[in-house]
Amino acid sequence: MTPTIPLWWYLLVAAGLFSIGVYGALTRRNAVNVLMGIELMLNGVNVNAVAFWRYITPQGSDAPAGFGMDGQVFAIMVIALAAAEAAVGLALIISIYRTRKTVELDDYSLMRG
Amino acid sequence: MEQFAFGVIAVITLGSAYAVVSARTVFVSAMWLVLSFVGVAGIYVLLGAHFLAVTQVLVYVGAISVLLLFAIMLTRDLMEEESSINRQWVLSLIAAGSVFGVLGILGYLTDWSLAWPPEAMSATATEAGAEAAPAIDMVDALGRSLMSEHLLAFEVVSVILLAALVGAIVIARD
Repeated sequence: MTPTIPLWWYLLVAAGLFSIGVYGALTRRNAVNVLMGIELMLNGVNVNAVAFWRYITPQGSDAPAGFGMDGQVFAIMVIALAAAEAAVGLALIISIYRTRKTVELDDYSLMRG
Repeated sequence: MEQFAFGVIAVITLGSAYAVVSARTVFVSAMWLVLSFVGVAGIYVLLGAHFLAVTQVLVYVGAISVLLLFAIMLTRDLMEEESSINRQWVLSLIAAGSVFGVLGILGYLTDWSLAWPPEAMSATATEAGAEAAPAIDMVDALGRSLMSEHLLAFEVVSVILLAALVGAIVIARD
């Protein structure tokens, strides 16, 4: 299946997703957009985990069906945590929007002191 | 052929990811984000992780995108409003570019000698691929792995999900 594609192609795509996410999370003023950037970064990490699972999984003797599943388990954990993070983050944004009438991060200066 | 498919999927994924961070309105960004998630699901299919691809479509495309759209529509009419970028975009570009450069160069130059030798890898791939319903086998192995060696992480994640569920309701109410 995969051997025709070298591993570093996947790593390059994952690095691209991660850096685009970094750029988006750092530059956008809108809080929802920052969350989108974080989601992109998590997706890049997931691609890396699955690519390493596919290419360099140690084949333990006790691994069922000849596959260690650690990479996919990592990816599933990341997906679950991303869902939790998105839910709480968006709830926070909506809650702050109720009181301050804005979603611009630069206006969230309540705790500046 | 497979490399061609990879190229198309990679271009779709990265292109729509770039469109996410450069779109004019938040709503358009969310739409591009959906396409980017679908592209990542395609990468999972290419890697042979079919269950993860389905999970990606269910959770990211189905749930998180809808959640994002809810948030966008609940907070003002953001559809028309221009979403601006802040003053530090040059610094951000440098940071993101250097992250990409370091990761890309390391990924290319590193000798992943842990990797299965190609003949062993293709043998394993064909062995696993030739068996009847390899995807089912893989889901089976994944479930066993989750419930045995990764049981603690599994339970902790379930508690975190419950806490996030309750927390999101409590925070967003009143």
